[in-house]
Amino acid sequence: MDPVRLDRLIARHLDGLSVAAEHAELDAVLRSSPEAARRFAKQARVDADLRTALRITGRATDPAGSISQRIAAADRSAAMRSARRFRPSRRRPAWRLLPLTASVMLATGVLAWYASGTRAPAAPFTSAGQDQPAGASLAGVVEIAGGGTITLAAGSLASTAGTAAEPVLRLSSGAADCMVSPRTQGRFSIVTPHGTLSVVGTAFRVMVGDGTTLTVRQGTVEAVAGAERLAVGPGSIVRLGDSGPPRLIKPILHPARTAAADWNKNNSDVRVSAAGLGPTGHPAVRVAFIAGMTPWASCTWPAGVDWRDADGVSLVMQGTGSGRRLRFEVMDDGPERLANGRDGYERFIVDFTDDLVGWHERRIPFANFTRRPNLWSGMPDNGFGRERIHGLSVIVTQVPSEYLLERIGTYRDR
Amino acid sequence: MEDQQRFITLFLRHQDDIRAFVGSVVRDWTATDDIMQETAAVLWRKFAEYDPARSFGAWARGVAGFEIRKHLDRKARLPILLSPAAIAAIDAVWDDEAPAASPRLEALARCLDRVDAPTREILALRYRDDLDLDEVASRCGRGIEAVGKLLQRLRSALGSCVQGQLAGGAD
Repeated sequence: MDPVRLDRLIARHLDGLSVAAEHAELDAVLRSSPEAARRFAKQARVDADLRTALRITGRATDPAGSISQRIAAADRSAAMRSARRFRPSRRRPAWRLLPLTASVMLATGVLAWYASGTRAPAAPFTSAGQDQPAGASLAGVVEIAGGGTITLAAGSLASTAGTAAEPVLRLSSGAADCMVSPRTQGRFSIVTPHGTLSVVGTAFRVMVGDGTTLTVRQGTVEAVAGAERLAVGPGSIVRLGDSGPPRLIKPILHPARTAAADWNKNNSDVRVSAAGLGPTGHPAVRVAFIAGMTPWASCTWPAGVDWRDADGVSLVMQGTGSGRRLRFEVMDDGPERLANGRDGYERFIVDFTDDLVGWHERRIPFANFTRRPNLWSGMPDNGFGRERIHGLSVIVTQVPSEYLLERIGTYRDR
Repeated sequence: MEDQQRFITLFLRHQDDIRAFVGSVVRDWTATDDIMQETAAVLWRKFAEYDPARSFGAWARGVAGFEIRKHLDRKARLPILLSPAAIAAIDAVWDDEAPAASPRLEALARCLDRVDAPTREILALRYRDDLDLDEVASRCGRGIEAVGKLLQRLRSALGSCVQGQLAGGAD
């Protein structure tokens, strides 16, 4: 068979476009020609590898190179034109109506990374040199009309609103690093399910999960919610929840040792591997749950860590929106070894649902943890004292599942 | 315990390839995941019958092929795209000139880094978000055929890039 025709048949099969006659034609040639089968295997492998690579790493792109030129030369202009028309993902979670509206305003702008463009911007954002009008969904690196950039973490759900004078980014999940040049008029705003962040120029990161976490890196920020005002300086973090005023919180306490080498290596149901740096700049791990009824991945620290000064666990992870149930387990005090050879750490658990897509932070108060039922005999039963925490586990109920986990530690609200 | 360790080592080494094989035939990623789970369970149950002189990948694909047929029989909604003979023909050559999954994926990641953002977004819609081609086309404001041809060219270029990377070339 003509290789061009064969490649087209294979491609249409891989893309789910084949009609019955094409399937029959492909089937016949695969049966009769090992060379055709080899060609099929090669292209199918690229197809599968793309899915693996893009689902796991999903990195924002970018710099053009030779492969880019080769690939994009085929259809660069059309693809770039089309970027303007992306609609929001169908997995976008519903917006919650919230009483909270928080305004974060810069008191002193100090940034000038990105000067305003010379032309008058027509749209609130541009990406790859193309205007992104209101309603467009966004990914990767986006320029803000009036100066500044937003870098969206892979898997974030974001779309545009507002005007060139008052650009608005709607961020329903994921993370955004923002560098906003000082603005002479109008504000740049980010609307999350938990509130609104308005700035006239600063550098900050927003992560949206079960709350919105704002980390200010440069400048001085005033956060306002109702009658509450909060001055926030560089290095500080503000948390917006479902209700109440924005709260100034301290950075993560007790960041756990959770690099790839710290995870259990003797659990045959789970594979843990390094996955570069996560959105908060800490090493991320890819945890592949392969087999078992309730496979677990754990880190243990025999010496124990005192978590009594914290209010809960902070977990930065990349959700998939699968709706699957996950369990987070903390190992409290107890003997390192019981007579049966197992560790004797008392377990406390909390369940949550993988209902968010992309990187996000989850904050789980210790009050939500309960003692794991059916612990083996010899374990202490003295409550979740947290004087000596010996480890943590992440457990799933369905395999195969894969998650990227980054910084795990504790937080304090007080 | 020794058997279990040996099985896990072999399975982990081959699982990406087995999944690619199943996915290439089934073209439904949820079904692929289900079949992979069933295949892993059968492989472990029958591991005592595995002949170490044979390729584990080939043995696993044989089991996977059987599980594919079982799955398609059970799930009538899934179309049967390729005949058992065609699946066997693919299986027979699957390992020919195939580099191991791990370096292949690393090479692909390097190649993807060179893809410009708009083009990569199209790949992401198709592969990261698992959107059907008509949905990808709709989001791009283009025809299905045009997107299909673009993806075909992208896969071809990326496949060449990966080969070049693995051969030690610049691309």
